[in-house]
Amino acid sequence: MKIIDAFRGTADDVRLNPNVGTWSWLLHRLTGLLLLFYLFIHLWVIGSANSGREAFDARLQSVQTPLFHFLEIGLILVVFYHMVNGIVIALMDFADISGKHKILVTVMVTVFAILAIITFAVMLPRVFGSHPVTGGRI
Amino acid sequence: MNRTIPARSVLFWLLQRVTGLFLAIFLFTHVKVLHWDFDFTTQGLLDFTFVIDRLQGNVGWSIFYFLFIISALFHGLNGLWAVVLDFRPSKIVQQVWLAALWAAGVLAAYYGITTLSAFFRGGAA
Repeated sequence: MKIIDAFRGTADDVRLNPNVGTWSWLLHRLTGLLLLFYLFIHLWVIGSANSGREAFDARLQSVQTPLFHFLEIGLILVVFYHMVNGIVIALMDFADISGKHKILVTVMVTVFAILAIITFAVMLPRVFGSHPVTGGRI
Repeated sequence: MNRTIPARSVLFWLLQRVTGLFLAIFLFTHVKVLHWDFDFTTQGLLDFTFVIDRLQGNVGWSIFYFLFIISALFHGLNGLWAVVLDFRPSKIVQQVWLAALWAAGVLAAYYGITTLSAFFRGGAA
């Protein structure tokens, strides 16, 4: 019951303060939890190296299908969002410029957009290009 | 309001920032090398040979990934701890979470570093 109340509290925070800061805080939390979850899966995938070269190649090949290459783009966007927003948080903590938060958010969104465009431009054509194993179908 | 913040909390707040800035550098490099520069449509899928060619005998990359594993685990688990605290759990629940997070962190760090050394040993079984 208490946990439900806590979730309700978070929902109220968002509902009562529907501003950029609240959304960036919520997104930072959600992307952070997602990345922690991914980190453990990543450790498990790469950990197959402990069972030798063949085991590593087999497990790595299973996560290099066109579908995974497509999902990878989303993962990298999540990384970049968390990274850029985290740098803003650190800047506000260390440089004492929270008064300039709105300018920082504009800069942050711009930097994120540039990184996202590069990621899409570089990685999306490969997803639909010729895949070394499957030939290119998702 | 004149509350004293425990030194440990201040240290962990600072470490969260420091590991975060580390990770920004590490992850950008990681993404650039393995997801932007590496092109599987022309270079083939990532495999053991590719990883080992890059890592073996290179002290720089070994330090890079060692710090990467430690800072990612610390940053992620300490971030989860901040989320846990936001739910205002009782002292006993906090202790259980803290023990679980430390255990997960130490075990995962051991596993990650063992894996890293497997690449330097040329893949061990």
